Amino acid sequence: MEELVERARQGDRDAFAALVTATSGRMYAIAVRILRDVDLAEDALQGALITAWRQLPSLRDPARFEAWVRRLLIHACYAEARRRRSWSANVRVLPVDGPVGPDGLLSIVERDALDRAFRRLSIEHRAVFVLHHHVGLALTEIAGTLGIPAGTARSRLHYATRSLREAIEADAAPVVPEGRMA
Amino acid sequence: MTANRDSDRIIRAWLDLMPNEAPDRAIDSVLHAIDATPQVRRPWWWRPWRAIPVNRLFVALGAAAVIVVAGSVLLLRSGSQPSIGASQTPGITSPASAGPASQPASAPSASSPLATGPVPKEVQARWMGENRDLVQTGAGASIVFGPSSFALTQSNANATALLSSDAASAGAGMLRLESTDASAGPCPNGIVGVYSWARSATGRILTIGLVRDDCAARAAVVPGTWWHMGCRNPNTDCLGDLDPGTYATQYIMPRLATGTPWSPLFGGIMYTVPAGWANSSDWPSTIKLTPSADYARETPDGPPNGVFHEIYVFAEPAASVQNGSCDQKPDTTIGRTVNALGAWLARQPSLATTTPTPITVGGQAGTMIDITMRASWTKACPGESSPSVQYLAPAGTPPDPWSVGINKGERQRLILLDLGGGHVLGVLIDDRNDRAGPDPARFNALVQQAMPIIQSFTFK
Repeated sequence: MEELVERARQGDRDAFAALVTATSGRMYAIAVRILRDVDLAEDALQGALITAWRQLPSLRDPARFEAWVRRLLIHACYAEARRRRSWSANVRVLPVDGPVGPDGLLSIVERDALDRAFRRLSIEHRAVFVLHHHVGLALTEIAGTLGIPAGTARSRLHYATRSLREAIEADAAPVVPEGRMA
Repeated sequence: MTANRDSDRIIRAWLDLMPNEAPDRAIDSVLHAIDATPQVRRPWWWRPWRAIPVNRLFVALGAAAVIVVAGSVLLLRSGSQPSIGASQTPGITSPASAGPASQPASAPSASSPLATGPVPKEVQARWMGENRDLVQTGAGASIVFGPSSFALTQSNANATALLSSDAASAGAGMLRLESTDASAGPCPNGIVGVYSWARSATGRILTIGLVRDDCAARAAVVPGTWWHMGCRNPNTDCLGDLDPGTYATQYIMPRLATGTPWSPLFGGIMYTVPAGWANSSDWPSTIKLTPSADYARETPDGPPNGVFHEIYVFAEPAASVQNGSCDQKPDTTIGRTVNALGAWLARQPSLATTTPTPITVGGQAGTMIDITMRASWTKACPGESSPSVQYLAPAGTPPDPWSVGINKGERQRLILLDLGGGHVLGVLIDDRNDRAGPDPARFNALVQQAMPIIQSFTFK
């Protein structure tokens, strides 16, 4: 990997293509989890990788390539989420009839509750949550990736996790039928 | 704890549901793009400052010369004050209009200018100005000063220097430019130019005056008024906080027709602001002007979620398809004239609109409508937790996709202007604050501030 990075830094497009092939799946997986939208995730991935190509000569440590691209990707996700004038109104919902969860753990109702709760989180909270729970980064690594204090990363993770837990627990509680206004 | 573990298992399972493979088209698109994308090498004009040896005798002679010629240089400066635009607007032609400019205390001899140190830190920045020689017709120019370097570029191509020079301070209020690479512009090696500089009190406007330069091409492009590029997002170009005065947009093409390629247009819209406003974005088909107090709360990624308090301008709006998807698609069955769009808005079950009021801005007739969401509207765009609707989308496919929508509690004033030739421009005064909640007084105060700015618009 480091040799490929070094060659790509020198302008070798084939080497960069190999890096794209090697990392794009992991990067896309992060983007789509943060943005919850396949089109926006594609845009973020493309933007991050093109930026990586352009700025690769400035990368000092080839061993940090993937962490560096991950950071570019997170910022591309931020930009995608906000570029469209505001609102997540443009974010399309992922298909409800997607793959079934492992061992049938996840009910449609739980997925819906989690989807809704996740979309209520800010993009910064989502990023911390995904980097921790999906990528498996420690809080200090997340802080380094996002350029934020470790305490901020911790509080964002705590808030995001609590919000999603509450969504599941609320969903498990008995539902009071909505009344119809006269 | 057991409950938490169960919840965490469910959350992880939910996270695992998402795809892990990037679509081939996304990878192909990246590989195709990099074929045409150069890498950014460290700009060659950004060299570390190295002190230029100056012996004490030269310093003494220089100081004496400064005293002798200071008066004449100041006269030269005042006599050759640059005027970069036809407009006599304060922001463009007169730094004094934006506050007292810092004045050079002394100046070196024009005939033997000495470098006395690095370019002053106040000047080391990127600055934007009007179209000049060397730059594509219609586009703005930008200059970049480093500690020991100077480069002029086209506004949207800041990695490509059209002219570069070594740069240094040449005494208080003076700059020395020396071409050292004839391949990097039209000036032969070793040609020295001397320029005066002064900043507005806030440091946001830089005025450069010609003292002497044997390179005529450089002398033609360097002097003038330059605006500091102070965008909070360093990856985009906008001016950020503004001194009071008149400014030109750098990129927006108000008449960005469907299918027409975009190219940067300096002064596509001219606007005049009082104190306390910022240019918070400038894109090919949109710009934003934001009160400075609100801009101060923005991050590089934009305003806080659920908060808008701004003037938003967008080119070539069309009615948005009302199928609940809110996905920026124009409804091609609806006319794109001011009247057709106004009538369509009034028919929307989601919107409460006032009777359209005629308005003229920059000589262009239009209509003005205040918009809120109907209390009866309960549908939400995908991903929105409160009632919302998207109602305008770009007619074509501009490089900067946008849409205009409204949420419950948001208040907007929409101005649609007929720019002629079938072109329509939208201007939105927008107030939304999900944290503080709806506040008609807040919206009315914004309208009071925003309308004079909008009325100052002129269009290219």
